[in-house]
Amino acid sequence: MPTNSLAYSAKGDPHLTVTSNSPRNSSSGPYRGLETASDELWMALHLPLLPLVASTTITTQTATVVCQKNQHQYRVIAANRSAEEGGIRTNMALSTARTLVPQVRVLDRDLQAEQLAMEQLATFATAWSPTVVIQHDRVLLLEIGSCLRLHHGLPTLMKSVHKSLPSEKLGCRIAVTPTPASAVLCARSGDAVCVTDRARLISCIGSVSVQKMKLTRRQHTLLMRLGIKHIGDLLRLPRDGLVRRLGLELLQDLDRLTGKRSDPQPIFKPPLCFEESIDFEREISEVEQLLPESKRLLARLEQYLQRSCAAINHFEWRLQHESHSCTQIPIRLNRPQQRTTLLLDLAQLALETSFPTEGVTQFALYAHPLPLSQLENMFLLPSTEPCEPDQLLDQLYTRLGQRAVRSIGCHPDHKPENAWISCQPGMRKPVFPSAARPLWLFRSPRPLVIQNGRPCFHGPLELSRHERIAANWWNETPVQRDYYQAQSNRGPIWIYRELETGHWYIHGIF
Amino acid sequence: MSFDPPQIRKDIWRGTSGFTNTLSLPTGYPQLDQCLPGGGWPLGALTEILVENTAETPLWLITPALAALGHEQRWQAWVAPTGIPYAPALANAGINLSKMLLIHPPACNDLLWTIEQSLGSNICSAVLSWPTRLYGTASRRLQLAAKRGRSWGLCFCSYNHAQYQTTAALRLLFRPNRRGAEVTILKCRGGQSMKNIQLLREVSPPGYSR
Repeated sequence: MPTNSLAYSAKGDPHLTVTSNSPRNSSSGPYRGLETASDELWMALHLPLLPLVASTTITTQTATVVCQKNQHQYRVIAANRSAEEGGIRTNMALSTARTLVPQVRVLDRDLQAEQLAMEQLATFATAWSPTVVIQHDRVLLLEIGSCLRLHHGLPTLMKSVHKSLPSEKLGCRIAVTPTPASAVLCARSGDAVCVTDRARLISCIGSVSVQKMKLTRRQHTLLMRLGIKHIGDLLRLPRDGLVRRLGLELLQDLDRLTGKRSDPQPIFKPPLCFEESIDFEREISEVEQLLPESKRLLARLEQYLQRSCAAINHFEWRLQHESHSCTQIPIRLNRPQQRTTLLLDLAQLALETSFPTEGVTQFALYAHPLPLSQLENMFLLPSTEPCEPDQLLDQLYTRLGQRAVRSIGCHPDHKPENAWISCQPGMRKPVFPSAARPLWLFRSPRPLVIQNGRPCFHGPLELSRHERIAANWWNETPVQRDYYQAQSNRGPIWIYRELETGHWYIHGIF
Repeated sequence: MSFDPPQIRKDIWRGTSGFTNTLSLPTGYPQLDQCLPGGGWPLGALTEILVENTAETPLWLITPALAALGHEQRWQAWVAPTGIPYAPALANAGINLSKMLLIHPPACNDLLWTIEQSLGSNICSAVLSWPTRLYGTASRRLQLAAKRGRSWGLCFCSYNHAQYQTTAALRLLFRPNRRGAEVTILKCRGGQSMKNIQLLREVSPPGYSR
């Protein structure tokens, strides 16, 4: 069974509690009136179980934790459900966790894989909003206020997010608030919050514990001593006193939470190339087993291209083997394409043609997209040519190779063999007027039989239309030939006599 | 009371009816057109021309038709020709070279695949091919592909292919002579086989002389 570390399939319907402090809203449905919000609105997705998903592709029922060394001690970063049922909590020392659940499976945190997974998710999230921010510690931030109309309102967007993310697997917690800092704070604190009004924001974050904020040890002790437990208490304190006692930074943090201070965010840019892979638990040796996967990968590529407004004219299958060698199957397209699902036949043809004999452990699709702006001329106007050979050419190239498919044109050369040229299909070459030439030329001139001192081809020949071709005396392949049109019993043919040797040859038939 | 089979069974096909709506393309040789149903090469079907030596293909027989197909703006594929279709002469004969595909499949089993793809793609108005072997299932597949792609499939085979059964819509045996050629219709869908049709060529081939 293939497993994909981040399959965005619908995994049940997670429950979202919407806290709305407005009596108007709470009386008639949780989401009413949200569509009118036109200001900035941020959605934060906290994914506490991402380390688990990134570290292992296998989902088991046994208690599993991911741990990381922190100040000479291993601490639990993420724990799956059965581990939590055994009493293991995040940030617990590993030794404690082992005491609680002796048979616990411990995985090392793979930060690189986590970052990769985060980037994949961020790329995926560009479907909902162009402004996506990867926040530290497993939080994804999206500005959604500007694209609510596109998604037909917030409820539809929320549904779409829940449906497409494996929320349960990632332990996803979503918060929607008007400021980025507060959205992140709420998502981290674990409350599913949906506030669209700035006025209601203060009361919403007021109940969050101050410990969720970034505090130094000194600030923390001081606040505890003052008996300040919630952010609401902090907000009620006089600002100048707060700065004096706890420093300017904390006040600035508070202002970012409430939106008093601007909070610019580094926007995530989707990677320039598309690369996605599927790992197999067992070696795959039949190409048929890859076909459904290739369909899935191509669909993902199409989504990616649509989101990033790009097209591809080249993509590549990469098949990883047990021996760590890699088979690359490149596919070149005659014209840039965005609808890659239409290329399924072509892609499968390429796979079938060059499927390696060695078993495959990983199957990847790699593509380097071109932005559509570069191709504007190609897409702006409908094609003037009634039929484009792209699809056929792509297929032929894929199976036969580039060099097998050509077109021909005339070439200004006196030597008959060189008066034609093989060129790229679709190239328009100028036509030069020439003397009478045969329609069919032999690949190489064939010597003629001589009878009674005269050349013969299926019987005696009548010669006419003499033409002397003396060319290329300026380079290494000089020709000096006397050409004749000859009438044979099989119709007119084109023959010549080599001046140097006096030998007769047939060169083509008219 | 007269006996009229079609009134008894509607699905009985009579040789005189049908095939009249088949598209055809004048060959450019009136003597041949007269003998072919529809008055020319059958389009959307497979035509087989049996020649003595496939390395000496009589292109003059088909160039008028290929030039006439040029207005369609579709492509013309030449699959595995055994010689060189000579560009200067083809251009003189009115064939649009920029719409020509010259395909040389590297392996034998790619050949039929290439012909089938080109015929069925609806991109080529004509597909000329020089298959080494063509009978039974293969010719049936090509015939179906030609119908699907509304393309004129043309195969040049050697004389000894005459002994094999094919599903080509038209099968000609071509014997060149001094004045032109002698053509025998071996098989013709909707028509009848005919022997020794004399084709006359223009006295001198096109092109200007010095």
